[in-house]
Amino acid sequence: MTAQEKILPKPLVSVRGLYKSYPAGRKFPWFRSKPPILALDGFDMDIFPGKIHAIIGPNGAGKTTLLKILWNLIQPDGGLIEFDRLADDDTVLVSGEERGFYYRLNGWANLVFFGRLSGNSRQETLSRATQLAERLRLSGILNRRYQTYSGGERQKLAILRALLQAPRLMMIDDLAKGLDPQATRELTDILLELARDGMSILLATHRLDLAAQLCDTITLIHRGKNIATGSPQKLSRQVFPHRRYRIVLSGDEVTARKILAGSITSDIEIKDGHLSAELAVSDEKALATLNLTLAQKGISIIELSPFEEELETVYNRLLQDSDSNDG
Amino acid sequence: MTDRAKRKLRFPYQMAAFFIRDLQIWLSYRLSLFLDIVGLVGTALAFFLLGLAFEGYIPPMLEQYGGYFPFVIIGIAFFGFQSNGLYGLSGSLREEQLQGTLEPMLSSRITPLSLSLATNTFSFLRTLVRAVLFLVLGALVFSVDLSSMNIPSAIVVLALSLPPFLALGMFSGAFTLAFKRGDPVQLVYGGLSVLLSGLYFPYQLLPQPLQWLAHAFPLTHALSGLRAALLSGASFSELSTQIIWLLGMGVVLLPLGIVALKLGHRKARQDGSYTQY
Repeated sequence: MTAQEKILPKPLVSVRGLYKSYPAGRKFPWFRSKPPILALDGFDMDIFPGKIHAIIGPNGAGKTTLLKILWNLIQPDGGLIEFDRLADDDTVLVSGEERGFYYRLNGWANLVFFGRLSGNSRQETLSRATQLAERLRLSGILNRRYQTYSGGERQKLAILRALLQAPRLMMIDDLAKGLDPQATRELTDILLELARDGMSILLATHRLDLAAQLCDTITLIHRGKNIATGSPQKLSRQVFPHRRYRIVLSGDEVTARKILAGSITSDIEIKDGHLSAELAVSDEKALATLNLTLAQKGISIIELSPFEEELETVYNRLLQDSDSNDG
Repeated sequence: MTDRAKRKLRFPYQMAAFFIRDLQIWLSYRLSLFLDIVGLVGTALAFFLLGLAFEGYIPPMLEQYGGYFPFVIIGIAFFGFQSNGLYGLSGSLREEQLQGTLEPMLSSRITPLSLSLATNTFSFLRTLVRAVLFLVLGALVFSVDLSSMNIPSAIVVLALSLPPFLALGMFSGAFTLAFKRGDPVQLVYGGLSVLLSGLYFPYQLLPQPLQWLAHAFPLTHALSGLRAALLSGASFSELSTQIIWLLGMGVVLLPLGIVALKLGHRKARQDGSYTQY
């Protein structure tokens, strides 16, 4: 057993070599079949218990297909999915779409309907829904018809419905789609709370800011393939292997430029008589050498702070690399 | 407990869920509720007036029923059961697709058979109430003679007609799931059954080949049995032909309907088209 295997728990869901293509219809006027659309192309992924995992990728990358396959609404063409002691009811999918409830019914009636479908009595559903509604701060609106709900209230009600099943894995498609900052914050707080309680959450989203803020692991999917997986920091390291720092200096500009020449990744800016730039160095030793050289040449370091690239930059670089590798 | 056993236990809750949901939605459209009642009275009146036009002349074929109005009112009162069976499931699937509720509904792991039964619960009871109202209206307002009706016989014929109607609905639902539109079951069967099954006129008026064809429709035997039971008080033994036909059709069509519906679901899963319409 390797050291890594000792540390990592067994995945809750393990996906290996998943393939899915959709028929693309026929060409008019001869009705020859068009080539199928490949949605997933040998996709691999592990989801670990109690973690928030995001799937990010461009439109049409295969995110929704993956979630629906995991939820058994779409049949894959090939590949293997292993669930670790997950029963049917342990997995739920929450769609970011605003539809999905009966507009003429109020929140309670909608919840009781879906609760009964899952085999719970009215009393069981109401009792559980009451507790969850308080936790999600929805109690005040459940007497109103669904058609009067705002986008944020609709997404929260969808999460409440999912939680009625007490799932171990909650998948959310298009998280926070169309929500304002306050509703988004409320939603992310709820998800963090659920993850703290041990629930695994799988998000498909375009919101890179939310993915970076919420997730333990991010998988980048592109053209149906997993092109990178890891924590936001790990993905950043994958693209930018050197450690990144912001440095502010005081001293002779020409000398500073010469010393930093091999390490700077941005233009040197001069502000209030100080020079500032971004650096990339291979390790601590290289940084210490740089410090020493600057000190020897009479240039003082006013500020040196590490930083990670924004996820959006990492995302764009990974997509570009994937495109260039594909030719 | 196995997943299969859990699903069986869920079925009563699922039936209750659909019934109460549909009742709540129906009651929320108050104008529609009012128009339903107006429509019922209007339809009965229209056929009553049509019957009056031929008053004094009863074709020999209608003598056993006591005239055209008693004949036709049984037809229109019970035709709704076929409509429920045939259009109920596919209509419901399509509506759920449009509302985006089909996927959350399927997440409850409701089986195709449970869905077909549960989704028709409210409309079945509504049709039953309508049928009874038609009969009451016919008897009290339009003087239809129901004095000799045999209620147990009518219940048996109605009960036996439901499985084939339900099976046809499953075929139709399978087409909706697989191809979304262009359902030949509704188009061909639905259209022909109105023409050939003796809904508005006795099918014996048709040419002989079409009379033979009429026997292929459960509605023909259901209406013939119900008219005999309600207007002439026919006993079980007198209804044996209709009972055997309906029983045979139920035994053959229901398993085929379940298989078709499963194939429809499989196609929708393969194509990823549950939410497409």
